[in-house]
Amino acid sequence: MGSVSRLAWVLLLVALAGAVASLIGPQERWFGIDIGSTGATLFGFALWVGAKLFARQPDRIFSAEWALAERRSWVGLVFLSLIVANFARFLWSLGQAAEPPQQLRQIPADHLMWNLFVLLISWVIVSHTIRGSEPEVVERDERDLRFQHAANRVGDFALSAIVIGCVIMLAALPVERLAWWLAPLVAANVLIGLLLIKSLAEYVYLVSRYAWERR
Amino acid sequence: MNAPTVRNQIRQWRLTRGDLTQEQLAKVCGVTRQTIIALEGGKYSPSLELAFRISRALGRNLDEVFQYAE
Repeated sequence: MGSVSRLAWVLLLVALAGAVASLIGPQERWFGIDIGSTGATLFGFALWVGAKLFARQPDRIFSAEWALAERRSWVGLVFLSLIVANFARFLWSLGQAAEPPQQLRQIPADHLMWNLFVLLISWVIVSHTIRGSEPEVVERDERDLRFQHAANRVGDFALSAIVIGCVIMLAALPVERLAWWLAPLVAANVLIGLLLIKSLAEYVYLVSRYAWERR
Repeated sequence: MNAPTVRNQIRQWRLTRGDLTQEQLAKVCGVTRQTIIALEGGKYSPSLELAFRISRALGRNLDEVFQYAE
């Protein structure tokens, strides 16, 4: 195993550990350190170092047969999955409260905001870095755009299906629980969650479509 | 995902040029090499504009490179 491969495995393990740790906390602290925020930072750092390393040898991490748009779709899928996982965990902890929050400052979102900040910055850096140093590379052509349009339609369909599912769920809820879910700040967070799932469905379709066309 | 109904002879004409690689053709046409691979593999139907650009890059008429399969 070459030194580059060894380093890649180390970075992957660090990134995985960081991703798992980012879902823990902020209640979980070791020696006063917030595990969640530290994990998210570690994850972003490992990915950034990995991206810098492989920007010089992109074929080591992605197949040469993959277009830049396909590589970015995979990166997007990984980051968006982590964002959705973080947001789902936040919604779950919000659902444990006896009373719905009435003001923004009552929402315990500090941990989530930090994780999202680190993930979004890492996403931008990694997406930019995997482009490589070649100045004339075509970032996205008509085939990529056609796939993107199809993905948007899949996302719209997923959103419609989930909204219908939510309406059915609300109709089946007992009245006292219904009031909780329809509180403005809870409903706003659920709507954000729906948009995240729509984007996730688009990325899942995109990577599947690229893989299907290449088979 | 329907199979493309537009057949093409991009690969044949490209090879008759001898020195034209997929990478070079992609660069001239402003697309990725992966799109040229998909076209040559019959997995993708190009837009009319791209079809014209490819034909021009190969120095052929459009109907020599692309045919509509009924």
